[in-house]
Amino acid sequence: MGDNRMRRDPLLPTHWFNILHDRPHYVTSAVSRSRLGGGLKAASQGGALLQQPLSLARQSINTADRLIPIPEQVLDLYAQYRPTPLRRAGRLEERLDANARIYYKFEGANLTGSHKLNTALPQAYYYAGAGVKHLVTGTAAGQWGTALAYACQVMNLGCTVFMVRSTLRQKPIRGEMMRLFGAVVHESPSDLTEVGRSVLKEDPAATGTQAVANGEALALVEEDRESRFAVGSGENSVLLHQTVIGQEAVSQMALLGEFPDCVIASMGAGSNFGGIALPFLGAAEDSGKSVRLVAVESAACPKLTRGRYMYDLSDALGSSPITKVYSLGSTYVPPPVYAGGLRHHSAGPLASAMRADGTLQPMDIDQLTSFRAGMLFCETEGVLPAPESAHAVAGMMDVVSRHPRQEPPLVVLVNISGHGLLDLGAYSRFAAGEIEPVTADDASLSKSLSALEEFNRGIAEPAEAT
Amino acid sequence: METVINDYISRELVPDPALLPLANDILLLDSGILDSLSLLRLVVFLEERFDITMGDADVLPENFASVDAICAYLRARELGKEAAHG
Repeated sequence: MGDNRMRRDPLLPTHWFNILHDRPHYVTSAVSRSRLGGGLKAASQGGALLQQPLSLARQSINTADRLIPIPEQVLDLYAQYRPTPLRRAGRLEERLDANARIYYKFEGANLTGSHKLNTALPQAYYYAGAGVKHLVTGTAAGQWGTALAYACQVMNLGCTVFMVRSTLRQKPIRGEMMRLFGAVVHESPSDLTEVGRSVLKEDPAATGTQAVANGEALALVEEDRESRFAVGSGENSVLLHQTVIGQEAVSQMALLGEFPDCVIASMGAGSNFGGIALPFLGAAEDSGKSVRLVAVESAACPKLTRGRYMYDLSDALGSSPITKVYSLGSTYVPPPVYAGGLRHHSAGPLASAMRADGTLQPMDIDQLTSFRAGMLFCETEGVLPAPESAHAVAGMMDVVSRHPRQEPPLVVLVNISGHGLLDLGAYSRFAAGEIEPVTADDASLSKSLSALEEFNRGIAEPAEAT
Repeated sequence: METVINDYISRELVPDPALLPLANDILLLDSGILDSLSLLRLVVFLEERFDITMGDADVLPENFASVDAICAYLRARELGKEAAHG
């Protein structure tokens, strides 16, 4: 252990940055089931018990501490792959003839291939410390499932993963990787749970969604008190853990004498976006500078650009907290896209609050545009972005292209949240001209939004959390 | 103690005035008054108000079933502390 400490890089943060200290109004706004009528009111009460250990759950509502210490054991594990590289994308600048200095932070250089490990490790640490024996989760693209499987192996926990059917079939090697780390992997929807069975009964060919996968995971947990549900994005505590990304980037940019005008990341539920953006928000407020924060979502699942800011569920079982989020409705089924991590029907509560008060600017990008950007980034920078991260690259290129020539160069920072080496099949299809610019399914969207509005009828605004 | 806890839950956690006044024996979890987020807020309140620290082993359904159950849990905890100090 002592040797590991010696190997810690000085740039490795020793604390997580807690935006709730600076902006306590971002504490999740939620409503109790007692406000609902009908079936949901009497729905499973599994959500009434704390799924998370107190130590972890407290992090989601802590407004007292701006910096929260990272446990020593987690720091030692972070030190195995952090700090991650921050580089200038000089060849991309030349290719774009950009009036900009483009920097990127690369989170794909760890065993599991994405930023998800930044929260999987502390979550497994806290659960193991609370005596939990087994973690169950839902995963869309598989990055979260892979990271949790590895973290559980490190912490001697069992792990079960429900992975969205469409993405598991697109990249079965993700499932193999999780199994390699000792996890049990199920395709979702499955016939193992009532949630999955009801979806399959309605549509045996259902492609699956993150909400259904999470619902199946929660259903499994309800049957076993030694198991808990772990979530890879959306929760305030998850965004907190991810702030190691942005804190490192603040220091790395400062060493280069830079502070970004604009920070850009893709948006699933908000973890990689929050991870890189929140520390810059804090740093800007400390220094009196300004920073523009851009969240890039999939046009197939445009919750920030076309969703409603309403109360909604995050899982198909209906036992997750009912929180105020930008959502397309939990029944929305996005068309299958390769960026499975961007298919969640809602943004997390914190990212939604940032959208509501204008701190975050949303942008939607279609799949074809994202692959073009991802390939260009690969050709020029030698890094193949995950399909989710390719959306961020495309968004960054859009921002840069709109920057006037006569202005000083724009300084932009984009988060490459993961590598695309397990998505080569998708990139091959792009190269063969087989990728379409997939956008939202309007009929499904309209139906789902109507259901969301109906769900919210009768829910009065609760008193603001203080 | 019952009054303090009942007042907090009634004021901060019961969102529907139709559920008030809150009886001390109403089932908080089964009725859906407490969910995971409001339960967490209640834990933080109890820690601050009664100067205690709770761990995962304390957050059991039986300890938070009702206002009466919460008070019984706190009193048992206090008794245990006194016994430990002889």
